Amino acid sequence: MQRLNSLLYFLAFVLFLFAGAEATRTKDRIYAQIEGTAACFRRLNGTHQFGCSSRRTGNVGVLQLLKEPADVTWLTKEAPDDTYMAIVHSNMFNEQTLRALKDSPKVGGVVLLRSDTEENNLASYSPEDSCPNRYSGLSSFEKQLCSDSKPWNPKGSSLLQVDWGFPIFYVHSDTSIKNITDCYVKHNSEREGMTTRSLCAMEMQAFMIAAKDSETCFRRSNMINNLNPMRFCDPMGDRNVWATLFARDASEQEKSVIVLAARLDTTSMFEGEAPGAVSTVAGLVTALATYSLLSEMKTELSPARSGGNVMLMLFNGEAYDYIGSSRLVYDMSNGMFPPKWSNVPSLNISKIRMMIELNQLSQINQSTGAVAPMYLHKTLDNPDIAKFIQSMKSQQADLNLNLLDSTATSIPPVSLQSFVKADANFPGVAITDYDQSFTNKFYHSVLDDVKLLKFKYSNGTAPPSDSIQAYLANLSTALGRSIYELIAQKPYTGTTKVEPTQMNELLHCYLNSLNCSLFHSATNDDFTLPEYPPPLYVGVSNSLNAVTGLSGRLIALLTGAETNSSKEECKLNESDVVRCP
Amino acid sequence: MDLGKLKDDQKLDLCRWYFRGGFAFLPFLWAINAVWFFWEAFRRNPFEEQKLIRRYVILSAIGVAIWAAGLTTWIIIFQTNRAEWGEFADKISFTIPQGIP
Repeated sequence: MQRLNSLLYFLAFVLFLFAGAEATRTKDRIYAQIEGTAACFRRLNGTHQFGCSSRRTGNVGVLQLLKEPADVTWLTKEAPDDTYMAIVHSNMFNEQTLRALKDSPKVGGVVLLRSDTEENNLASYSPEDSCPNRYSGLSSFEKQLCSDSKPWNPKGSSLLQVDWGFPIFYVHSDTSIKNITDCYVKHNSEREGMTTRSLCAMEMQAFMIAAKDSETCFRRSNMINNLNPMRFCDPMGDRNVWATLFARDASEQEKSVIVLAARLDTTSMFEGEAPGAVSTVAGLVTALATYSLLSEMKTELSPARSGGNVMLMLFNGEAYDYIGSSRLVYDMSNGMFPPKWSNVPSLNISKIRMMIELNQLSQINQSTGAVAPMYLHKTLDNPDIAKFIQSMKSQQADLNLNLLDSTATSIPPVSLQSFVKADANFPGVAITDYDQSFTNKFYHSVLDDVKLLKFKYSNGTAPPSDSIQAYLANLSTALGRSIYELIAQKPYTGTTKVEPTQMNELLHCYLNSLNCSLFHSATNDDFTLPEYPPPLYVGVSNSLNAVTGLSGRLIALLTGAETNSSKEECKLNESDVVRCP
Repeated sequence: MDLGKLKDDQKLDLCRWYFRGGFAFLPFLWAINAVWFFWEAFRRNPFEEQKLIRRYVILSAIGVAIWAAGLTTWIIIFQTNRAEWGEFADKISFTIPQGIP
């Protein structure tokens, strides 16, 4: 009994000791969680797997900062430990470094540190292929439209098409960057005696269960071998968003619809970090503003239109083999667009008079710093296209635009390719900021952001006349009036135009924060809009990107008519794009 | 069960049933049989049922050896070729591995 008592005393003492100390778990004294990260993830196509994955239990390695190419050589050749986590700042995050790290068995993972506030002073970084969508659209495995010697995306490093074999994380929160750097400097920066002292290490977890190729993955997802079937992967996809200016009916003629198109998606290496300012948003907001302008001209256009119509089409998934446009063309050729249940006459390709597509747009040429010209890429010569181009050019002096005919001999990698593939005589014009190759040196990367487009939100004041807002507003005005002229067969004589302030708000929504006045007005009060810019990665088809639905609602807000219905009536159908009073 | 408490004829019965049971694709019964009755079959002083017990023990051991060889061969073949076989391998798998071909 005496012994038991003393044991109890001892236990009480030990407990007391612990209670008196800080109530921190041992785990928390060893590990620090890193917040504000985005992982590179695995994607599959018909034959390969791309992207990154860690081991199931995570990859662990000693932190090693790579400041210059010599550090990469040291790490791959001389470093004493078995596994390292390479930390790089954006200046070292390039093809050369990454490929050297991939070939080294000592590298367990890579961390890219880049603060949200960091200026972009890199020469170029595009993880996309030098020939985007190399095997789709008008190109195929046998027939290439884009040549490697003169590619569309000369800065493309194809890093998105590499199966890395280790995890890669993008860390953009300032506190996390500081934590990682401090830990490295304190414990690991001295190369002497690395083998004998304790070092700072990192564990990265981004285990991907999909493998090999889409066929394998879908097959495994659909198999029921045991009582616990598992979904290994999801098909990529989302929804296209479209609207027509006038209601369509059975009297619709051949060659009567003008399609105004832009893409709604972009991509990058990291989950949730796909800003696509130049590659996507500039064209998207220009299309939205143009369509909104046309809707303001509707009353003047209506008597003169003689059956003509305008369709706004926002394609989703174009970064991945034209998912959106190829599906639309497929549906059109099968008489399935719009879907039969909608009781609207189907729209064939032959009903399209011409398509005007807005692709990459930026005001400033990234190489020269001068105001960039815009290039018109046409699929063929016909009177409509000639008239459109002539009408656009006649306005350029007034609207301070610089429009040039493209000298490229083939159609750039834009959605138009899906249509020309189905109909070789499909009339279309793509308006871009590049001629024979992209001027965007950050195509499909995390750096194709608001800073690259040089957009500064002017809150409450009018944007300056040399701003991107004014530039895109002028382009929208020119486009709206040219489309008006095509349909009404006469020049537009009114004064309605797109104001830079409207462009300012549109760009703010798509580049700065979803919680913006336009999206706010377009949604019901029970919608929660987050404060961050929308990631524009197409995502998977069973979980739609928030920006898809919001864009649809925005179109309704910009062009819709008010109806007299009570709050109760309007709440009836949740799926309707309706803003309730 | 304690074999020491059984009579010799009961031991033979038990051994025989373990041997027969093994034919129902239960090689573990043979493995147990071979180990369990090894002492009775080979080490103990001769008794009436020992001859038969010894026969069952030897046959059980042979059976389990064949099973082991067969299973080992199959597991090596399957594991080395699983990724290559593709759909067929997935179809005959109970759990499909994650993250690897």
